Amino acid sequence: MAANVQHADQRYIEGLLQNKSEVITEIYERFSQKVKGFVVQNSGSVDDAADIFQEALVDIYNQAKYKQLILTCPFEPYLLLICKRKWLNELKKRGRKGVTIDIDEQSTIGEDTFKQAEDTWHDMQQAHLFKAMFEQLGDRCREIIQLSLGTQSQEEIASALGVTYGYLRKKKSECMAALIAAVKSNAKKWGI
Amino acid sequence: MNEQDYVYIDQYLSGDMTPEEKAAFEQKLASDPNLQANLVEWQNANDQLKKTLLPDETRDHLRAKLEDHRATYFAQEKVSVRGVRRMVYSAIATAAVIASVLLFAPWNKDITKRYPPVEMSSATERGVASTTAMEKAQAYFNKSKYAEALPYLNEEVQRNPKDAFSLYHRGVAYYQTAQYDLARADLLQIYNGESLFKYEGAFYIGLSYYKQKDKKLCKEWLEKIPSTAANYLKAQRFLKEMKP
Repeated sequence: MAANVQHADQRYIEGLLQNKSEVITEIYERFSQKVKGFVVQNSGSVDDAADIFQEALVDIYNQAKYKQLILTCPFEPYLLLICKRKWLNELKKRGRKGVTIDIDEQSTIGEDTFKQAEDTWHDMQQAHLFKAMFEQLGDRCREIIQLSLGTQSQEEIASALGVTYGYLRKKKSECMAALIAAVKSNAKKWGI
Repeated sequence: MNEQDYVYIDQYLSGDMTPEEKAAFEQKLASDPNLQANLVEWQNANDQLKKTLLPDETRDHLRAKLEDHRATYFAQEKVSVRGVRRMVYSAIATAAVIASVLLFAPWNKDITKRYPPVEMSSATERGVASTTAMEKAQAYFNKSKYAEALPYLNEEVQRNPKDAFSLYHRGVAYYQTAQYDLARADLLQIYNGESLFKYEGAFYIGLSYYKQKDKKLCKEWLEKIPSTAANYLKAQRFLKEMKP
């Protein structure tokens, strides 16, 4: 069997993409308490656990919507691993390290699950890093990059900002170069 | 990194090149691994920024829905004056129980009484819409007036037969009013489902058998509670105390 066959649990991903209440409730019913237990047993609060769980689900949504994530492994260990990774990273940020009590996993986790969870975490962590570095850019850079992501043409953006096309191109390249450099030099600090 | 490269990359990716410029760029790209790497980087930066910076209404709605679940599934353990006071009372109560056990017939003790009664949380705490029946059920239930709570729980179960919350509390109310068969009918559904109350369901099924002097079935049910469940220790303690 090919490793990249869609898993039946893709229905959870579709549920998140389509905002289906019954699927979201099911996700909380089935998986939230494990994440809560894990975070609370590893120096976190219940609120931390709620945040981690919520962020992981939004990350999965983003990955599905903007990177066409297709789940090839079961959803439960995939979600739990992402939550675990996020919490480990948060602990590191807070200056603590190591997790002594591991998350409860009923089934043995396949290599494929590890890889898919790690890929999602890594990619979304990088997206968060891009956002953080973007926010540190100057006003003009932020404006130009933000507008360029939309569907407007370069000419339209230039006229909206009251600059020439040539200036816009040059400035945009500068801004992107600065952003990419900032992401590179902070990647290690962000655990990626 | 050559900044001029980025200008070209941007032009190339947004289709702002003449056919000649494009051909020249592609030729350079084919022979320049650095340029290739820069192109990939730029594209990745663009994709990554889209994930967090483009407005996304569906995502906003998703966030709101997730937030709605917080109160139910990530409830704070309450530490309040009331809690401390309750602890003091329960310490006094425990002392009284021990005293009475020592003074009177310890062989007649009902060990089920040593476990704190189930408390029903309010709709607000759970982050769901409240109904009059649910409020009344809660008020009676938390005063241990289970017979009075039952009609309201019935109403709730009829309104929403799949709601684990009302079904579980009705099961406990039946148990508390010694209607053990009815209790087990509800709790069995809870145990077979996947709600938060799953193993509390098993616990009370076990206790219902204990009340009917069937220690064997009681033990069987309490042993169904896995070590990962929140009430595992409670169940183990009961098993220990139950031993003749």
